[in-house]
Amino acid sequence: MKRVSKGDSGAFRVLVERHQNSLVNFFYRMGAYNHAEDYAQETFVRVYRYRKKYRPQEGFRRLLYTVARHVRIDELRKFKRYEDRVLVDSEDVLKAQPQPAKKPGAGLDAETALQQLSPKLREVIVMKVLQGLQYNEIADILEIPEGTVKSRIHIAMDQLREFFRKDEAHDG
Amino acid sequence: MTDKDKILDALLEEDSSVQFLSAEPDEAPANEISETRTVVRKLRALPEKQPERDIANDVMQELFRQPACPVWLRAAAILVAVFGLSVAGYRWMQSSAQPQTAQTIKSPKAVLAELQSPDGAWRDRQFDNDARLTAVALLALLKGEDHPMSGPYADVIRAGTTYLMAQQKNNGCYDSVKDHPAMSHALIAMALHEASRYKNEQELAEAAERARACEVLLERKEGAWAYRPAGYDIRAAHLVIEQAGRYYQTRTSKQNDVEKGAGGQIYTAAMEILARHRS
Repeated sequence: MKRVSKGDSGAFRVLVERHQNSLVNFFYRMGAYNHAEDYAQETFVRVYRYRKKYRPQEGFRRLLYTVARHVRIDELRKFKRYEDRVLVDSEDVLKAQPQPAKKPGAGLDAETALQQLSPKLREVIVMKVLQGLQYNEIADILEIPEGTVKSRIHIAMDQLREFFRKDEAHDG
Repeated sequence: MTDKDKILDALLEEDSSVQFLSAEPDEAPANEISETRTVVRKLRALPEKQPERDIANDVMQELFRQPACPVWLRAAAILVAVFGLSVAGYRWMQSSAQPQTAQTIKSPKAVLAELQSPDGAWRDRQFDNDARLTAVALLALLKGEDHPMSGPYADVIRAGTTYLMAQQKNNGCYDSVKDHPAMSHALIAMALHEASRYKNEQELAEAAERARACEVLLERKEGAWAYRPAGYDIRAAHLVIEQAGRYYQTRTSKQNDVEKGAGGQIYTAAMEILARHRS
């Protein structure tokens, strides 16, 4: 990223190629089933435009997911405007995301379980479990204390365990 | 951090120490640890979404695509457009202001042309001196033109000379000339002579000679006029016009001149023409 901030476009391409899959999956798991790639593209474009403000000590992943989260919120706001709804906050916006078509096969339960979580809980679970971000990174990205991140993960895990428990009991 | 937190962290990080920690049922129930591990594994087993297009390529294209024309060319086009608009605006402002100026500042020859009567004469309602005023106007119109008989005022000049020839008696004199007859006939003679030089018409030259003869006759009778020229020195005629014009202007106020006729305007225009083309 240091090279990118000095105008090395080739280095930026390497960065995009390295992170594009994980970013697309982040958006997808957050519920942007139809626009994950578009959001990822927009995220990288914004990251490049912010390159001059990049501080190496903060780490690239912090920057990438912070921008990604804002892209997601901005796009959902557009969606909300399109739907002619009143925007209260990003929480409401995140609830307004379109649901994926349910398909049979592997991962259906986990996907359904993720959908059961509130956007706040889902966000931390996706970042921690699926994207492998550290607590302090998530805390910085979401601009909340690290303890809040942990408590959300606890709550999310409790809900997920309960979901799978019920699911197994139902199947059994 | 509680032991439960450590267990969860370890699970999420897939730390092998979870096995050890999970062996302490008081701190973290075994079934809870097992369930958490299952949840994490199920989540991580979710099929990875593969991008259907080359995002890196699209990003690079969006960021570094070449504009339709270079930046410097666009900047130049903008500058040219701004300059063009400024010039157009300036010209528009000038053109909207010009009609008034053109109306108020007409060329003196145009003023003379407007003051000409339909019969070709220049007249003053107060003074009966049509022939002299016509001569004054003609001398002014002939001044400063290389080819006055083919220029923009050729018809005006022709109408004026036609009038002078029509009004001339056989002895070359003009009945309409009452005051300063010698000087007036000298001016008429010089106007006709000047016109004949450009047009090379015999009739004009003969009319000029007749007017000259009348002038000589009048001089004998009434005395020479103050600026008798040697021959047809046109400079003397111009000098007379300027002096007569000044005298005319002192006699009539501008307001009276407008009310009484065009004599003052004719002299003023003639004086301006002579001043412009003074050699």
